[in-house]
Order: sequence, then C-alpha cells, then structure tokens
Amino acid sequence: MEKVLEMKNIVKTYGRVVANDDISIDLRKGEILAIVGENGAGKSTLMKILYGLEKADSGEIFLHGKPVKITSPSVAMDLQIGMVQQHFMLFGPMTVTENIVYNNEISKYSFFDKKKNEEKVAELSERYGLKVDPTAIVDNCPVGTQQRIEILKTLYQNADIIIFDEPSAVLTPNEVDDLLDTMKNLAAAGKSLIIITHKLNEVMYVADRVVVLRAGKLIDVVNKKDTSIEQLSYMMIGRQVANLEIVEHDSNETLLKVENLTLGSELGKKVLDNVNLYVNAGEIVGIAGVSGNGQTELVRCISGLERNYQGKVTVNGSDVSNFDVAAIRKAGLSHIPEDRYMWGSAREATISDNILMGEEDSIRFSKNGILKQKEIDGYADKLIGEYSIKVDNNKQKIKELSGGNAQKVITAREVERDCPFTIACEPTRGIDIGAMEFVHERLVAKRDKYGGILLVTSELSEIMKLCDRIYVMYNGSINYEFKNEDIDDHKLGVLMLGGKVDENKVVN
Amino acid sequence: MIFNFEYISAIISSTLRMVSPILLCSLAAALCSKTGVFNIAMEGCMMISAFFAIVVNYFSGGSIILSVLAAVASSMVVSALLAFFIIKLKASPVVVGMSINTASSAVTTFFMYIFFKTKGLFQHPDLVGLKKITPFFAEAFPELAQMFFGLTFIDYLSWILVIVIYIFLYKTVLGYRLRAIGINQEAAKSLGTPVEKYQFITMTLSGVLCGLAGVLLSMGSVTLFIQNIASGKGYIAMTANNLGKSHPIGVFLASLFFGVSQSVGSFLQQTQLKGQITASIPYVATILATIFESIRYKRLKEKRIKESMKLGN
Amino acid sequence: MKTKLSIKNFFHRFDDISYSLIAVVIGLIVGAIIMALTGFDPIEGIVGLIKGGFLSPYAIASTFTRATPIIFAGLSAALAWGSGYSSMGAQGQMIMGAITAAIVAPLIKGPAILVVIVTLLASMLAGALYSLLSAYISAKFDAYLLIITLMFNYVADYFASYLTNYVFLDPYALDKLAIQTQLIENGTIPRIFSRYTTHYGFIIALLCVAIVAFIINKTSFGYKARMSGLNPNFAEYGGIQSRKTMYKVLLLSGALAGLGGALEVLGSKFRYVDKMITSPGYSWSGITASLMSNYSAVGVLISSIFLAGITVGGSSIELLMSIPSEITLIIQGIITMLVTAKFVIKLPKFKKKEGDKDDI
Repeated sequence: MEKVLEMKNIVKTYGRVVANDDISIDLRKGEILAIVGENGAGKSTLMKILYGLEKADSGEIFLHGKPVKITSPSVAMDLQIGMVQQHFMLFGPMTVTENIVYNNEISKYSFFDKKKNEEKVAELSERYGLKVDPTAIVDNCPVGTQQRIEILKTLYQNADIIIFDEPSAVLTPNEVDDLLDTMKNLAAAGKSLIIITHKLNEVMYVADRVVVLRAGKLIDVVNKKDTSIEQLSYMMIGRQVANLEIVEHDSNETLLKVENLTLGSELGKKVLDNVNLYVNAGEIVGIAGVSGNGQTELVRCISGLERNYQGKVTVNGSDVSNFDVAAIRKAGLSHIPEDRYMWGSAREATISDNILMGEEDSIRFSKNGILKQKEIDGYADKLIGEYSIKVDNNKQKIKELSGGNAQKVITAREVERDCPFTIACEPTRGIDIGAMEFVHERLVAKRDKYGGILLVTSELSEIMKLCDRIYVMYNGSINYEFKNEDIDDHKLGVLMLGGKVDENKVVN
Repeated sequence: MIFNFEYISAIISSTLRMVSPILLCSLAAALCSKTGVFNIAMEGCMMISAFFAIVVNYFSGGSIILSVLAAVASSMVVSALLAFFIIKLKASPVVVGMSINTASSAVTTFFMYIFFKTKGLFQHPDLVGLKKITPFFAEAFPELAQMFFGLTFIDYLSWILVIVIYIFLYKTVLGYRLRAIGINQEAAKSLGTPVEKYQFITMTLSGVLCGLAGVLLSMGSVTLFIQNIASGKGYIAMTANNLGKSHPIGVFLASLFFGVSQSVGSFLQQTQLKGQITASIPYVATILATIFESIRYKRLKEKRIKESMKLGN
Repeated sequence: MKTKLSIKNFFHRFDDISYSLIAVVIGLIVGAIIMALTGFDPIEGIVGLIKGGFLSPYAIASTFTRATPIIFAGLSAALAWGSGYSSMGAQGQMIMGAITAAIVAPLIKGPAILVVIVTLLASMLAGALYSLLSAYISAKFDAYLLIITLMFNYVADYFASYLTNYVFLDPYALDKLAIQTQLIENGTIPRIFSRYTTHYGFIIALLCVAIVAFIINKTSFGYKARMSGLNPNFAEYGGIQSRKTMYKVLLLSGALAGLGGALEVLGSKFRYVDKMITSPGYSWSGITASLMSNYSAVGVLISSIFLAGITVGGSSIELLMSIPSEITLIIQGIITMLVTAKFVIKLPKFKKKEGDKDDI
C-alpha cells in the first residue's frame, strides 16, 4: 500500500530525558495506525513533532516520499495534516460553524456570510456522517459533539492525515463507540489516521497496525490481526516485578475512610459517584485509572480543597467531612499534589519557605506568631541532606532547581511531616529515574513505619511496583478492588478502560 | 427641585454631552477586551489627546481638523506604547496602564508650561471649539431639538460608532477573528493566527476612540485645558465596559447610566447639596453599579448550578 | 525578534536590585532627552535634580520630609501588592487618616504626647476601616479591588474636601484662598532639628519599615501573606485561608496609609488643606517604590527616599532653571513601566530550567 507519511530516526530530548529515541514509523493510505504506550513513553512528543508543535533534535519526515520541514501547525495544516488535540481548541461561546470555518471563512465584501458558511458545514457534516448542528453554540454541545467539531475542523482544512491525541480520554462509552465508527468511516473514505492511546480495547477495535513505544523507544510495530490485548500490554509495560521488599503488617487501624462520596458539577454530570474506599496503617493503596476519571476530584475532596460534596470522609479517626484544608491537615494528612508548580510550591520562594508550608503555625516552627527561622532552616537543611536535593543552600529559590529536585522538596515536606497518612499524586511525573526510585523508596519507608499512603498515578508501572491494594477508578466511581495477591496487570489495563471482571475472565 | 419640561430637557441635553467621552473610551476598552487584552489606560490617552488638541488648536490658529488629527495621533502613540509593553514585553497591564495614567497628567502639565508658560489651566480667546450642530428637525420640533443643541459631530459619531463597532465585531470576518482571539488565544494561535499582531493593532486603533473622547473634553462643551481634565472618566469607562460585558450595546447602556449620574451630579450642584457631595455621585454610582451587577450575576450562576445538579441526579 | 532575544539575555544576568537600577538609569536618560528636546540643558538638569535632592544637608532634610508619606504609602502597597492584591487605595486611606487627624487632634485636651498618640491611633483606625470596606466589597461581590479602590480614592477626596469646606473650615485662616481646617496648636509633631523640616514622623516611618519588614519576613502571618502573593494555589493547598489573610493584609495596609496621612498633618501642615494628599501623588509614588523594591520593606525605604529626592530636586530645578517639576513624575512613570516589564523578560528562563516536560 502507498506510504503517505514516513518519520525516520526521530530523536527528541528534554534535558536528560530522552522522549523519542531514534523512532521511525510510517503511515499508509487509508489505514488507522495506533500508537500505544504508557504516559511518558513518548507518543505525544512524536505527534507534536509531526504537527509542528515541537522540533525534533534530529530525524526526517517524508510526505508522499518528499522530505518536508514542519515548523509550525500552520505548515502542518498547509501540508494537509490535521490534529484533534486532547484538550479541545475551541471558541466556546461561538457557533459550531464559526469554529469550523475559522481562518478560511466564506465572506462577502469582508462580511461573514453566515448562511453560506453554515451550508458548507452542514454539507461537510453530511458527507462524513459527523452529525452536528451548525448553528449551535459550542459551549452547549456535549463533549462528544465538541470532538466531532474538532474532527470537522481538520476535514474543513482538507486534512489527509489526521492525528487523534487520546481521543477517548474525555468521552463516555457511547460517545467512544461513535468516535471509533467515525474513524473507520474516515479511513474508508481514504483518510489516513493516527490514534494515540493507551486504551487497548479501542486499539483492537479500530486499528490496522499498532506501534508500541516504551520509555522513548520503539518496541515493535505489529498488525492488529496478529496480536492481542495481552501481548500489547506486555509490550507496553514490560515485565517489571516489584523489587522492593514489602514488610507485612496485620493491622486494621484505618487512616482514611471515604464513604459514599458524591460530587456534582456545573455541567450536570456526577464527577464522583458514590465512592467508597479505605487505607489502613502500613499499606500503600493505589488508585489506577486513565486521567480524568475523577481521581483529581477525589483528592480535592479528601484534602479539603473541594468542600461541596456529599458523603463522609474520615482521616486518622476523626470525621473531617467538608472541613477546610487546614483542619484536615491538622487531623493528620499530608499531600503531594498533582502539579508541582501550580499547587505544590511557590517558585519565587526559597526552599525553606516551601518546606514550611502548612506548618507555619505549629509549635515547632513558630511561637506567638513569630517564626523560628533557625529551627526552620535547620529542618530544611536536614531534609535537603536526607533527600540529597542538589542545591547550594536553603535560601535558593525553587525556580532555580531542576524538576526532579523541586519534586524532592515537595516529597520531603509531605512525607516527613509528622502525620500518619499521605496522599501522593503523580509523585514522580516528569522526573528522572534516579529521583523516581528515591521517591519510591521514601514512600515505602513511610509505609514500613506504619504509615498509610494513597497513591494516585497514571503510571501503571508505579502502581504495580508499590501498591498493596489497588482501586480502579472509571468514570467517577471505583469499579474494582485488587487485593495483595491477585494484582494482575492485564486485568488492570482492561478495568481502567471500563471493562468488567467476570469470574476471573476479562470481558470488554 | 423643579420638575418641569425645561429642567428635564436640560438634564437630557447635559447627559447626552456627558455620555460621549465615557462611551468612546468604554468602546475602546471593549474592543481591547474582546481581543483579549486588558486596557486601563483610557484615562491617560484621553488626557494626552485633550492636551494636544488644544496645543495644535492654539498654534494652528484654530484649525479643527488639525486639532482632531493631533489628538487622535497622540492617543494612538500612547496606546501603541502601552501595547508594546503589555503584548511584547508581557508587562503587568495594571501597572503599565496606571503608569501611563499618572505620567500623562505629568506630561500634559510639563508641556503646558513649555508651550504656554502656565500650569493648571490654559484658556485663550484664540482657541476654537468644536462646532455645535443644529439638529435638522430644529424648526419642526424646537423643544425636542433643545436637547440636542450643544452636541458636536464627535457626539453623533460616538453613537454611530456603537453601531459600526457592533457590526464590525459581530458581522465581519475580521471582527469575528478578533473575538475568537479574545475567547481562546491558544486555539487561535494553533490555527495559525498572528495573535499578537492582531492585539497590537486593535490596541493601537482603540487609541483613536480615546483620542476623540479627549477632543470632546478640551474642545466640546468648553474650550480649555485643565490639569487632570479626564477626572476619572477613563476609570468609569473601564467599569462601563465591565458592566456592559464588552458588548457595544451593553457598553452603550452602561455609559448612558454613568452619563446620567454625572449630569444629575452636576445639576444637583444648583440645589442646596454641596458640590463635593454631588461631584462624588459618579464614583459612588460606579461602586453601586458594580455591586448590583455582581449580585445579579451570582444569583444567575447559582441558579444554573442548582439546575444542572438536579439534572445530574 | 533578534533584538528582543538579546535584551532578554542581557537582563537575565541581573537580579532584582540591579534591574531597578537599570530602570532608574533609563528613566533618568529619558528625562534628560525630554529636557534636551524642550530646550533645557539635560546635564545641568539631571545634575541639578540630584544636587537639589541629595547633596546638601538642607536637600537631604527636605527629601526625608517628603519621603515620610511616600514610605507609608509604599509600605502599605508592599503589603497589599506583595500578597497579591492590587490595591490603589493608599491615597483614599491616607486622606481618611489625614482628615481624621485634623478633626480629632483639636478635640483632645491634655498633654501633647497624649494628643499625638490618640490622634495617630484614630487615623490608623480610619485608614484601616476604609481599606477594609473596599476589601469587603471586592471580596463579597467579586469586584476588581483596583476599580473599587480607585473609586474610593475619589470619594475620600471629595468627602474630605466637603468636611474642610463646610464643617471644619478655618474662617480666620491668613491665606484666604486656601481651603483648610483649623490650625492644630496642641499635639503637633516636632522637628528633629529646628533648622530643618524633617520631623519625628520620619523616625516613626523608619520604625514602621522595621516593623513591616519583621512582619513580612519573621511572622507566620507575613509568611501566609507572602505565599498568597507568590502562588495563591500553593497557599490554598497548604491550608492558608485566603479571605482571612486578605482582610488582615488590607487592614494593616490601610492602617499604615492612615498613619502616613496623619503624620503629614501633625508633622508638616498642622491642618488639613484641601488636596494636600492628592496633588503630590504620594500614593502612586509609594506604589512605584514598592514595585521597584519587589515588595521588600527596606527596599521601599530606599526607593521612597530616591523618589522623594528627585521630587525635591525637581522643585529646585524648577526654581533655578524653570524646568517644570513634573519632569520627575514623568521619570517616575518610565521607571514604573520598566520595572514591571521584568516579570516577563524573566519568564522564558523558567521554561528552560524546567527541562522535563510533563506530557512526553
């Protein structure tokens, strides 16, 4: 079959992290190519390079056999490459038509020709079977429709190659079915599609060939009909067995208990639906799930950042339902937040200041409202030493540290806090392997000291390595609980995508 | 107080004159915020243009055209400077805007001394004000026409501009692209729009509107320049833009409200109420309007969330 | 594009202080250019500016006198802006403090020291309450604090003007044109040296610098305020109650402004004169000073003295060379604009340092 696109020997590094390590792929006319891999495997980087959002360090791209330089999305669009981004790029208060025709409007004496544009959109929508109302306001459209608008946008720009970045991450199961059928239709109409995803059941349904990436490297390219979910997930995750020694505790002291937690949203959807879970002393409990399935909201509720929920939250034996952050922290919770710069630190503040957060009123670090700076600096130095954070002194600002060291500061602050229970969200996102292993060791050490940890992460390998129990979260509720022995990565992968478990057999 | 026809007609007439500068400036602010930039320097732009209108008026022997051109040009230069700092240097719009507002007061006073060897107030018999336009229906309806006496072509232009800007923003391709930038800059960028260029041009052109407003201040009802001639009208325009949700029609209504509050303020001066109390009416009105609008908006939002929660369950 | 990059690299090498120095130098250069364009000798002008502001005991004394209210406005702004609240309200709060002082001081009978203390406390309260009111409206009704405080400034000015004109006007004032309240006889703040205008208010200002520096850097309240200013999300995540912090910060900020206004009455004018706070632009100079020093209290002190110095120097070159003194306000405006542009120029640096991308 004709090769419409070839990417050859693509290399891209961010600092010390190699995101794409000599990757070559090709795309044939009319096919659907799936690129699968865990978070951080390098899928998005590869596609950003193709769409002109990132520049490769080296490597070449050929379009219909001719070498091309894609320096920006505009160039990609001119070359008939379109991308449906994971985070939609839409003008919410405008109509569907206005969103689709943007930059290529039909106009009459520079006036926007509403009727003609709408007709054109309606015609396009008809031709590809992508149902939209051209006059509707985008903000009022459901997410699935918004995605159709994004697809129509690429079609309106005459894209021949369309990249879908995690297209099902935000959709409901029914919408996912529609999307996958749409993709098949588009391929049948001669478009060549690339889908980035880590949902293997979708891959099996829609793809012709599958590219597997792991840690920046190309593992294999396989035909869909020659492979299986099991084989793919094996290739994706690799067989990494937990190599940390686990000290067993027989304890029933419950550090966190969440009962019937339900949270609504402005969009009229339940973000959390009757969630029940617990964490005992001496265990690390993981929440596995594709991001956007309610994990962020769950953590916000437990930590007190979101207080308008129904249900009961108990931390360290005291009922803290609808309490504020300070009160819950006092009850015995520490929290490594999801985003280290947005929530976890103040970049312009010193390391000492960042380590103090949450403890500024404690007897240890202040007296009558006056800070004991010596004590604080001494503690900061102690943590810097213990966590081998590479800095000159404790007065350095967070913005001067590398991502890994900044993460270590946050981890040190929260893990070493004198409290039994810690929520750790994406504690190793975007940091190098050395720092990652260190953070893992610390979490395990805390568990072994009879603490409890709730680990929320989209890194499956992390969950597999550290957790004693795993809850699988899908669409705002817990749909499965793995206990110590029966943790099974294949089953986990399927459950994360909303599959069900039936007598040890996995069905989709 | 006397509530007769003359009195009301006088209030209306004065309101119409008070509205235009605020309206022009809030249209400028609206254009900027529709394009996604925060402009609070209308106060300064107005002062600068009001001043250069008078300067050129004086030295050109009363040429209206040259005065207006000078006003508009000077205001555009200031706006371009503002745009350069905000858009290119990514400086804080609040600080740069306030710097321009305060520096403008100094710049005008400085040059007033350079040109006219006086500070504070400049008035001269050679200065020519804008021509007042007699309404075409003056003979048919003299009473009605009374209200429109004292209006200049810029006042009428400001009303026309409401319509023109409305059509531009909502009916033309360019206007629609500008609005899109204001809604989601990232999306516009991802579709290949030179966002910063559009913003820079919009901001510079918004200076034209402030320039016209400035002309009205120094050559409209009175023909003179006085220190701090804008007296907070630029800030009130900023509020009018907020209350009007940056929509030309909404902005027009909000400006009308502030025009009424200013004219009522100045009319009450003739009563036993003291000048300082009446002079603060527009500012108090601004605060109150902001509060009422916020209460209304909050109620609306709460209602929406409640309804959607019901749907969710 | 190319020039922009080189500017970026150039400024990367300087920290906050040198950045402000560069802004000052550019401001002075632009000032010199304006002088040259308007037919004055720029070198003589700039030298005169510095000489008139700093280079004689008399100049220094006048500068310190002038700096006193600016320091208070600057401390007030440093607290508010440094905690993330763009309040323009120092002006209104200073007016409230000043008019309160002018009204309260003559009412109190007793030893001068008692009168001073009670008056200052009353003025601080007035400034604090006025600030709190704008804070409350802004928080309760989601209104821009900026607009509310600006409007409050006008209202305060007219309010004080009304009281001066109609309620407390001194009918026996020698200057028949000046609108002013009755002269305060008992309870004024004395000069430090009788030959110079600098009064003990300047010492109080120094004391306040120390106190505010202590509060910002050494107390847990200051810590909360600083963190709220640097990253409100981080503060919220760490359990800092933002609303409570906002009220406390703005209360304190208003009290400082009120105190500054009162000292201007008790130490310099001995009465409230209409527009005495508004026309010299103390409040804006204070905000400039706080921006120049990146909200540090000691930095506010130095910047305020500098700004006061060029203002005093400005008056002197106006007398000696007929250069309008507004030139110093123009210079100040340029400095302020340049000082904020730094936030930007530094931004690309973070991105590079981050190195590791989250979504690879």
